Amino acid sequence: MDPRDWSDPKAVARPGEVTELLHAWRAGDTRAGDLLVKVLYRELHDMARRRLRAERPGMTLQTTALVHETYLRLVDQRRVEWRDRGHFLALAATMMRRVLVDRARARRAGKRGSGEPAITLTDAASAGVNSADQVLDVDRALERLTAAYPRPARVVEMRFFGGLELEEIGAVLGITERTVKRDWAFARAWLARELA
Amino acid sequence: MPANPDPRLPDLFARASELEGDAQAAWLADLRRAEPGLAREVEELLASAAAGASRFETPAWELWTAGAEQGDAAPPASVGPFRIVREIGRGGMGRVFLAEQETENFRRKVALKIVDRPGVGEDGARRFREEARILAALEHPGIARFYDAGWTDGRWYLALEYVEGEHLLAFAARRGLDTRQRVGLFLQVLDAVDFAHRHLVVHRDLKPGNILVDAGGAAKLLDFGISKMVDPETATDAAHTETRAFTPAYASPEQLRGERVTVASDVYSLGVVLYELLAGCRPFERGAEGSDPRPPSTAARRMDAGDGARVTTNARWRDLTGDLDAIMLKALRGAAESRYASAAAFAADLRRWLDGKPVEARRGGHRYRMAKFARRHRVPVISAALAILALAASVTGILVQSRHAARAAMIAREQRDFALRQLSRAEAINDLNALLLSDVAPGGRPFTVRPP
Repeated sequence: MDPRDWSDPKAVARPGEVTELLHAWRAGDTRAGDLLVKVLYRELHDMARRRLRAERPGMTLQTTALVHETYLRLVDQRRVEWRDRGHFLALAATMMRRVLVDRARARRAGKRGSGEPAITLTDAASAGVNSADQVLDVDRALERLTAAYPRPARVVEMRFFGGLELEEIGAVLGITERTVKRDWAFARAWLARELA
Repeated sequence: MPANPDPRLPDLFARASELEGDAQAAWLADLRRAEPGLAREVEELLASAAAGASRFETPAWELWTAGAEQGDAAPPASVGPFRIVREIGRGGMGRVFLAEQETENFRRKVALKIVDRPGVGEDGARRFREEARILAALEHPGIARFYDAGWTDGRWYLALEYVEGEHLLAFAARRGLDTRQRVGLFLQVLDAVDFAHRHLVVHRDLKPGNILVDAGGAAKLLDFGISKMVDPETATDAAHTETRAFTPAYASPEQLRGERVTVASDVYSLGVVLYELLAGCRPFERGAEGSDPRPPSTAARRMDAGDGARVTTNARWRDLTGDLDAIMLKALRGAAESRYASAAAFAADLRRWLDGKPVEARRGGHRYRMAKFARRHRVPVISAALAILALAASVTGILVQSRHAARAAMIAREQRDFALRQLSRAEAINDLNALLLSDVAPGGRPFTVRPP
């Protein structure tokens, strides 16, 4: 194993290094995994913040694009297997969830955001999440779902928080797209009941 | 909170979702006998799947950026004569609360909109006054009623009828409405929008979330917050400079481009809503906005039964093929002038479809009208057509064999036109034919026509 020192997150911003981390993590190096999480969290957090400032009124942050761009920027495409890509995207989805939940907590604690414009008066019934409290409610419900039915909960994390496609989710979890769809439908119904 | 998780639940739920109506009821009854606890859970999940059909569809981040990163000042206990109960919605300018108004004579629930965002400014206040003015003029059973508007304690407020119901798509899904029932429900919406248009008001933000259906099945339009008065002379927007605010997924191309908004823009948004109501998905695949919409029947067909509550049966896409496809695509034309000229015209075409008559959206197609006629008068037409087509086929066959292909094609066209003319004549004598057939062929079999 490469005797590299992974202690400095700033040292791994370059594609080659993130790719190495990804390899080491898959080979069982938990420290590499921890560091990957840190790098990804920081990266997604910064990117989300930049995007939210730059977007024009009426625009929304495109989750799918954000996650995939992060992947392209951080990972050296020539040295990575297709399977690694799935693992990276799944990890990014988890981090997207964490960034959003942290943001919602900060918001509820009373910190002012940058005043991003809303689209229009939304009807509560039509939106899944529209306030800090609701983000946190969904997060908690998802934790309960994870305890009861872990795989459908993973599907929700990757799709709802990470914006991944059904096909990508299937590849990560090693299940067919049809099974992903079933899990997704089940999890949505389960969560809708929890949050009713 | 449900009982302990049962690993069989996901599979049972999937199986139940694939069944419909009586088949589903029978299957659930069987399960209830064997496993009452599990059966109840499956039923609960089916109900929440139907009620929350579109939930979690949009990634969390996109919902969050659409309204959450704003100040959350504690709501006042009361505003003017209204006592606040709880928050029910929020947006760019403020929040919407469920509130109660109590006087000596009555007590009622109202939806109270409050503008309390810092920085809303003059523009917001003007929009607010405008909405109040517009709403006060719109009294229609399909539009949430206006009660009161005012300014108190540094806030604008607007009190509207509180509609207890669920949004259009959730209602249709939960009740398991079929295509005809969905069209019927949607006609209520068109009538309300047409009423607003006739009062020179364009809604500009029509979407399922702004259309609530109460327990009695009555649809009501909400949120004229960004509507505007149209100048009848020029049909232009008097307040063109105001902040653009709408929901991109339902907005017309001209609205997205920031151009003039007219009744045709509402017709477009209604087209998107109807599409979603009937096909179970939006007209454009993600990222393909701006191209031509997929025909609804194609989209519906592609929706897999595995995709949650939006189960589309074979029958559903078959209902959409043809007329309903054409109607929705007409409402969704990119060029505003090619759409239905009004909500009333849109409604009239849907009523024609309900009555089995040729629809305006497919007007001009001679062949189409004949086919439509044939469907309404199946038996006599089939017999007449068989005779004529047999004749056409034999003539064509001979000519093709003699290798005069071009001429053959021309003659075939003539034969076809002749056949179609004959079919239209058949319409006139249809009643007589029907009478004759009912006597001659009680078994429902048409008389046979021998090819020449």
